[in-house]
Amino acid sequence: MPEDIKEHRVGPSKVPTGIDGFDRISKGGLPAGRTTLVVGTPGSGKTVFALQTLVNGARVYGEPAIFVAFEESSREIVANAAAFGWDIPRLESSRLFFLDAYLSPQILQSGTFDLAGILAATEERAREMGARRIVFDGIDMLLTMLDDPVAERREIYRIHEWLSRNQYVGILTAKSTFEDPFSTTPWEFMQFMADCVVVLHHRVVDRVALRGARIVKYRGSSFSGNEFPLVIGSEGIEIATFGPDELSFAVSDERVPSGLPRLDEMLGGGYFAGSSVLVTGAPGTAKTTLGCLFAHAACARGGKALHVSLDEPADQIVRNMRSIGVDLGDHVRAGVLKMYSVRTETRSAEEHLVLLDGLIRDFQPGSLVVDPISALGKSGGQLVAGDAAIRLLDIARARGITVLCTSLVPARGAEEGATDIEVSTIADTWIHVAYVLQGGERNRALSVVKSRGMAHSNQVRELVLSSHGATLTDVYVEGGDVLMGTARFVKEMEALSEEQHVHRAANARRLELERQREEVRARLHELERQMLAHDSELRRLMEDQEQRRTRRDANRDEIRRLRGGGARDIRGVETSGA
Amino acid sequence: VTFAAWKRPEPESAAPRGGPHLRAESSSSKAAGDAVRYHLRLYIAGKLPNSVQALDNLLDICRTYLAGRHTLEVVDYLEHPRQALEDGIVATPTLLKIAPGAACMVVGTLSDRPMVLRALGIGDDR
Repeated sequence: MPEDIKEHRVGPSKVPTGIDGFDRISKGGLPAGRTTLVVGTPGSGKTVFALQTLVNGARVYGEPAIFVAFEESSREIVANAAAFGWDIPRLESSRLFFLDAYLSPQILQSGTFDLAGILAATEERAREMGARRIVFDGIDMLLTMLDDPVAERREIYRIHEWLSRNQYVGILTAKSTFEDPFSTTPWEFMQFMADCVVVLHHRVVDRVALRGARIVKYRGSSFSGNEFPLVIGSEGIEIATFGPDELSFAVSDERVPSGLPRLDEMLGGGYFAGSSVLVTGAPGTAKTTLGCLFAHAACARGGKALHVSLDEPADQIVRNMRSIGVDLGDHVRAGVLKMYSVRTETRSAEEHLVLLDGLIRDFQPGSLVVDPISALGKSGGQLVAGDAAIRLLDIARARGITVLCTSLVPARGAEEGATDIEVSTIADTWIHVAYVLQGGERNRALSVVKSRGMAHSNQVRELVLSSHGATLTDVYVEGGDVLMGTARFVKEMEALSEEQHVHRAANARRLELERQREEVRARLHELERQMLAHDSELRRLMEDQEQRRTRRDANRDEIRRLRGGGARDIRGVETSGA
Repeated sequence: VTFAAWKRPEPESAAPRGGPHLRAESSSSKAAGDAVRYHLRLYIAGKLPNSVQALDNLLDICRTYLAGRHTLEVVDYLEHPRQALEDGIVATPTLLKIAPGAACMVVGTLSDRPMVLRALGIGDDR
C-alpha cells in the first residue's frame, strides 16, 4: 500500500499521445515504458488511435515508432490514414516503421506457435531507429489464430514482458464485439496485465454513428473515468472533453452591436464581446434574422463573421435577408463573412462540432452564428447534441469569439422558452422571441430572458420586420394588456382620433363662446345705441318743454300785459294740465 | 544421414559466411533421378519449446517420407531477424515449402502430421 501511495503521488511518467482530449482525460497521456490496451467494438477507431499516437510521437515529440499490424496489411493502414494529412510516407522507415504481421488465411496451421521471432525482429529494428513507441494492432487476430487460452495468455504475456523489458510505450489494440469487453475471456486477464486500459465504443443511436472513449484503468494515476465523445475528423481522432477544467476565459467589457439599435438599448449597449447569446423561439419568429443582423453588424464594423446554418442553404438566407433590406452578399464577396450551410443528418453532432472547430480555426472569425444549434439534436441523441453545443460555446469563448446561437423551441413550449439542448444555462444572454396571438394575427414579442453582467430591460418589445429592415417597437400597454401589431395600431389610432375629437370639440366650443361673446357685445352695442337714442330723445323732449314754457310764459306775460293782471289762474290750469 | 548438427549449429561449420541459415541436403544416389526433390525451410526461434518441437516433427517427416530427396534449411529468427522478416515470417515456428509446386507456409509445431503431409503434397505421389 505505501508503495501505491508513493506511486500515486509521484505518478508514472507519461507520454503524450498528441490527441488533445485524450491527454487531458488521462492527465498527460499513456504510461511511459508500460503497456496500454485499447479495446473497442469494430469501427471504434482503435487503429486510428494507435497510429495517431505514433504519428504524433514521430512528428511532434521526436520519438520514432514501430507499427506492427496483425489485422490488415500496413499498405491498407497507410492508405486508410491518407485522408488525415499526416504525411505518413515522409515519416516512413526512418521515423515510422510498419511491420506486417498479417497472418494470411492461406497460411496453414498445425499446432501452436509463438511471436518470439517477430519480437526479436522488432527489437532489432527499434534499436536501429531509436523507436520508443510500439503498437501491436489487432492482437485479437493473433489470439484467434492461436485458438488456445493457454497459448493466448503466453503470447500476450510475452509481448507485455518484451515491452516492459525494453521500456517501450506499448499499445495493444484488440477488437471486441462486446460493449463491456472484460466480461468475457480472453480480455479479463489482459485487463489485469495492462497498466492502462482504454475502451472505445462505436454505437448507432437514432441511425447516427456515435463513438466514445473511456479509460477504465490507469495504474498509479488518477484519470477521468467517464465516457467522452470521440470523433474521427479530418485530422484524425478528436476526443471531446468539456474545455479546460477551470473556466478561465478572458472576460471583456467591450460591447458589440446586436444589429438592432433598440435591442442594444435594451441590453444597455449591445452584447458583451466574447460572450454567448442564445436566441430561442418557435419556427418563424425571426431567429435567423436576429442572427444575420448580428453577423451583418459585425461585418459592417470591419470584423469577420462565420455564419453556420444547419439545414438551410446559405443562398436562401442571403435572399431572405435582402427582403428586409440587409445585404449579406456584399460581405460574403468582401471575404469578411463566411456562410456555411450543412445538413445535420449527414453527421453526428460531434462530427459537426469537429467540423466547426476546423472552420473556426481556419477562418478566425470574431463573431459566430449557429442557426439553429438545436438542429444538432436531430443527429443522434439530445445528450450528445447538448455536449457538442456546450463544447462549441467553449471553443468560441476560448477564442474570444462572440457567438450567437439560435434554438428552436416548439411553439407550445414557447412561453417557457425552454430549449431541448440545454444551452440556455450556459449562454450569457438569452433572448426569446414569442408569437403573440391577438386579434386574429400573430406578432413577434421579443424579450431578454437573461443577460449576465449587464443591466437589461425587462420590457417586451415587438419585433417588426419590413422592407426597410427590422425594428423593435414599444408595445402598447393598456390596462395591463400588452397590445401588438394591428391591435396596437388600432389602439394607437383610437387614441389619436379621440384626441383629435377632443381637440375639435374644444375648438368648436371656443368658437361658440366667441360667437356668443360677440353676440353679447353686439347686444350691448345695440343697447348703448338705444340708450343714447333715449337720451337724445329725452333731451329733445326737455328742450321742447323748455321752449314751450318759455313761449307760454312769454305769451302769458304778453296777455297779462295786454290784460293787465289775472294771469296767475290761467297759468295754474295750464301747469296742472302739463 | 544424421541431422544432429542442425539442431546444434556451429557457426563455422554451418551455412556459408553471412548466410542466414543452416543447410543440409540428403542426397541419395538411387533416388536422385526419378523422384521429386523437396526444398523446405523452417524458421525457428532459438530453442523455444515450439521451435524445438517443430524441428523434431519435421525431421521425422523428412526421415519417413522424403529420405534422399529433400533439402532442408533451418533459419533461426532470433539470429537473423531481418532476413526472416523480409521473408514475411510472422510466427515461429514456420515451415516454408519452396519446392515443388507453389510456395506454401505452415505455422506451428507441425504436430498434426496428416495435415502437414497434405500441405507438403506428400502422399499424392507416394
